[in-house]
Amino acid sequence: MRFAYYPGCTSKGSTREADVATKWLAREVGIELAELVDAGCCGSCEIKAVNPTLHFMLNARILTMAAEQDLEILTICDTCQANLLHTSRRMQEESDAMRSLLERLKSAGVQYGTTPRVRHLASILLEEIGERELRDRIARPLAGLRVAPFACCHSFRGPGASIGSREGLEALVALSGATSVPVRVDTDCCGFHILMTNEELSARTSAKFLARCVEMKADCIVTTSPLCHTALDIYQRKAESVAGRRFGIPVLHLPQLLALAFGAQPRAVGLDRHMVSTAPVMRQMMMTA
Amino acid sequence: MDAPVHVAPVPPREPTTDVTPRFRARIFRFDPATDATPRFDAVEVPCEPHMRVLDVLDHAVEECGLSIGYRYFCGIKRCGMCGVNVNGKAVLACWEAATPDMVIEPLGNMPVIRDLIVDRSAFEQATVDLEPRLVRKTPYTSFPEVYTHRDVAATFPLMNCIECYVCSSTCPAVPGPHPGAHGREGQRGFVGPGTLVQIAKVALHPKDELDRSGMLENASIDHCMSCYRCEQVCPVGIPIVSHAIMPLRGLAAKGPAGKARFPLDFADNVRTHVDIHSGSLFVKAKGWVRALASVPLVLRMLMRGKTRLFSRPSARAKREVNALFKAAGS
Amino acid sequence: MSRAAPRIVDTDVVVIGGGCAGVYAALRVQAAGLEVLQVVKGFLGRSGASIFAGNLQLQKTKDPAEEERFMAIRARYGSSYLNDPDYIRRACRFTEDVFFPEMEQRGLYLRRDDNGELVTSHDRSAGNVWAPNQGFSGTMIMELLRKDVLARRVPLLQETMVTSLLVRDGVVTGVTAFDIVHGELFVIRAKAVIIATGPGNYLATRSTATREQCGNGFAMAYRAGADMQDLEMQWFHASDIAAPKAWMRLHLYPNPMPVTDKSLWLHGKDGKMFFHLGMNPKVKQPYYLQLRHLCMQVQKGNADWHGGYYGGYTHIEPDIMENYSHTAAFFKHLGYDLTKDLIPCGITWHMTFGGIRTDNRTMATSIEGLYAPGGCGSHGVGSITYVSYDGTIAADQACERARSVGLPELPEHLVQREHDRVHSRLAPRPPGGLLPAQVKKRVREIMTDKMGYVKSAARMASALDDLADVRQRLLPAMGVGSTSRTWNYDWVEALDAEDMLDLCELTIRMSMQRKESRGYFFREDYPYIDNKRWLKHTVARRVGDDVAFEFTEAAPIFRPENEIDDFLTAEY
Repeated sequence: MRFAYYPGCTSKGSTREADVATKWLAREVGIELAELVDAGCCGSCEIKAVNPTLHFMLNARILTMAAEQDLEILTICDTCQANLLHTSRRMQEESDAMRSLLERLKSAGVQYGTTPRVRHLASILLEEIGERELRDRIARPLAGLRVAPFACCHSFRGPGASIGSREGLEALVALSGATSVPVRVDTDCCGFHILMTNEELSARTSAKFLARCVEMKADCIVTTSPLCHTALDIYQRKAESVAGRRFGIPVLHLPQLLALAFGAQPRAVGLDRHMVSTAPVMRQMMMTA
Repeated sequence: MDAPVHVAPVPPREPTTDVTPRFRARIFRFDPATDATPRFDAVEVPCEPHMRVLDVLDHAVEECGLSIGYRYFCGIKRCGMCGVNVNGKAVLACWEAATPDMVIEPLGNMPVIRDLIVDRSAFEQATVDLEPRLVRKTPYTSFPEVYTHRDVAATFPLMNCIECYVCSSTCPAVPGPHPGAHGREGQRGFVGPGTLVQIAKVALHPKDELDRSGMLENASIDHCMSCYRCEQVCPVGIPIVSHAIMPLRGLAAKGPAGKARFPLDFADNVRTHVDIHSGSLFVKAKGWVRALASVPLVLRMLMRGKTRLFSRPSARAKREVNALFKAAGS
Repeated sequence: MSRAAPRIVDTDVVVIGGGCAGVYAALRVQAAGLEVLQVVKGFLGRSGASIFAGNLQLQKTKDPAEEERFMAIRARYGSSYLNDPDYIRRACRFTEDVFFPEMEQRGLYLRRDDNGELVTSHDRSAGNVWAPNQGFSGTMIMELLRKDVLARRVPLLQETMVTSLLVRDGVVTGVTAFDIVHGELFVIRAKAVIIATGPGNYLATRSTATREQCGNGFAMAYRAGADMQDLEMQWFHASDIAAPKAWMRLHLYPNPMPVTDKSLWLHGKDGKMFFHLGMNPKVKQPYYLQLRHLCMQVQKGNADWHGGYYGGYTHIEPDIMENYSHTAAFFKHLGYDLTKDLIPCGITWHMTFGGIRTDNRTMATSIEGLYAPGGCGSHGVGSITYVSYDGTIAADQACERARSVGLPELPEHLVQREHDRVHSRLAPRPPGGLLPAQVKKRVREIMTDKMGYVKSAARMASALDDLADVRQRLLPAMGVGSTSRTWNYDWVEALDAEDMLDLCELTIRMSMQRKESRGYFFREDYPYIDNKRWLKHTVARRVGDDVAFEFTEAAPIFRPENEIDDFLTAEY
């Protein structure tokens, strides 16, 4: 099984461990990743504000790069996933807006042809590998580990949402053997998209979720988006500072959680690269680094 | 003045052989003049065809004799005044189907006047202060004006908004209900999606000629987290983020205070680096002085291999991405 | 009870009501440079009949032949010859010259197609347009007007219920007003009073009036001694959804739909279609005929007044419903497939064509200084567009008066009396008594059972007896569930209950006076339209504890052909 791999911007830098863990997991289950080098940024939630046409064009170019290789796209970030999926839906509409986009793309040297399927790693694992095979590969069930899944807002609402994404995340957590703790409520947001401009409000928002994780005795959080991970892990100390209390909850990327359950060594999947130490989780699972 | 008297409700009827299924509801009760803390009144309601939450509230008063305070006028999603939380979900009581087990509470982000009645004035005042009227500078000629359905494509998806503020009640970026939380003109907290849809109706109207960028900055539009919660709850199905907030953010980006210019900085960063280079974006967004305060965090990240100091986009990628920028008129 | 010392607020003109008529009046007074205070029981532009306007009528009045034709249609099919066509002419001209241009200037979007043409039904003489979809126009109009009022800082009090008109020696001096949020009664003294409380009267179990529209305006005017006219001319809707009860105001419009000349079909218990407007294309307004055909089906046992018949859109192209009908989304929300399913309907008590007796040139009532524009006046409006004319005229008259008189002296004894009455209603419910909401429900049940579409002397007399029982037995034992003053709706409903009793009794007695049938008013003991004796208005006036009646001739501009017509089979 081969997919065009679109890791997104942060997994090349501040959340590099997500990329490392994804590659480990892909190798393990037999997924070949053909990384879309030079694909560039999906525009996040910013470019669509100042130039919606440019936003769709940037994403259409990424879709083309996969289509040219006759491959479907695998994403590991829910915002990238939402932008690409929304664009792919739009490009399949019969409308004047779509036709006008095609013209502009052509004038910029992008020959848009077919629209490839776009799915998040979580969906592909469940749909292509399947629960049975995934379960067979569990070498180290994470029994007793209380995990608070944090589904990214963009995975389940907005025009790029994927149907069943939250249920998929729950299924994979259950599969790992861990206990899912229903901490997240629909008014939660990690606040990532205002981190650079309104750090205090961002931190106050994530602090609400983090506080509830402590109250509901979650051992760790699992995310499907490196952006949520950034807000909850890298800026957890800031959230503690605005909330005036300690959280100290490790945040795992979903591929890391699954990799651990498959028997990976923590360091092999970047669990030593977090800002909030994952050591408590490793100790609980009696793992050595 | 005597302390208010509360009369016990009508006692339950004699049990019957009526086998109609019954729905249960617990309804939030609180009178700040007399109660130290809220309580919940429990009712049982015989299930009727297509029953709405509003029918449950009517039944609680008319049949169970409870003096519950709740607002509605039209019952059919026009007045926008019957917003409540049902089982934690922000809804309109007239639109939401009744279910077997309901906990009915007032909407969030607004002070409670009594029971399910909330004070919407912070949001309503914000809407008024942001100039919600169409502002023409070119004189209106005659009726009917010349334009096509295509010309109003930007505002047509917003027209059915009834200003119910269910969205703003559940928005994580809106300040809470305590007095003064929302600030005032010139120095507001985030005004919320409901107000922004009202402003978008005129800001995106083909005939509006007011420069609203400064007002939108003052509305703290840069606080929007793009979480799409508003779109999720909107009972009318307005595409709030995509069709109101995003275009308004675009207008605000050109505002005089530069408070909302992040989308432009982001776009510049992509044009230069192809993949986002967080370091330079961070400095651009915060300025050097405030960025320096984050040095300890950056050092810790550096030690864990979480930084990418230099970006190296390939010439081809840069060329292609720039061609897109040009073709999109940026 | 203590000696009243309510707070007094002074103004030039007080406007009661927050619909299109009230807003037009308030804006006009403000623009004239006088002081105005607008008082709304609900919220401005969020309650009342105005928000429900579904179809807007665009009449071309510049062509005299076209105008004449339209006035004749309106006289015959809109009022059964009771309206004054001259009023219709003036209101239509204002609508074309002022209302539509002003609203468009404010940003009202009348639905266009991709070529820039106004979307209408195929029968252009029906003149329907929509903003932006069928069923939403009134809400959109009121939204724009509300923003104008608020942005211009027109002095406005919301959730404030006017409880009485203070009349001294036949002249209005102000009103008493009740702040619902804080539970405070105060007085507004004014040189002129514009009452624009609308035509809605939530007097039956199923009604299109909004929750708070309990006929308070009519009741107050009547108690203050104003002449009332034609209250018996009560409109019903034949095609409102049967369930859920919360949606009883959801209307299945029988008018021609956008981009087609098809309209709603009504089906009986047998599933067969028994009425649609296309059956009688000459008739431009379907409401009378809908009800009469429904009545005939009920008589045959093929429908019931509150169910057992259906509205169907199965013959209408799905994309018309999808693109042009605001209400289509409601049916889908309940799980109906409009291409296959029929929607259960019931009748609803809609609004009255009569009201406070007005001079339709000035909106003046029989009380000096009191003007009644819009649906609460007796001039038989039925369209949101016309009431903008009414509000403007009333404002001009009120301003002229306000410039020429000083602030009047208040009738102290009436203020005291009203203070006592309102505060007596804060009494807690005694054991075995009812909440006001429960008393209102009882009143509505009586009206539903005995003052439905089909009336008779016997049933009306029985209704009066039942209402007398409510007054004598239930009202004294009525009380509130809590004596808190904070947003106490029990207290508001106690005042409503009294107003409703007054108004229902008056409406029934006026109905008993009219010994014929006409328009929406059907008496099975007088089942014919009597143009020989009854081209008249019924006028009622309070005299002590009793009512005096008189009759005035209707405007003679258009006349029906026959002296007598059988009501159920007539087309007007």
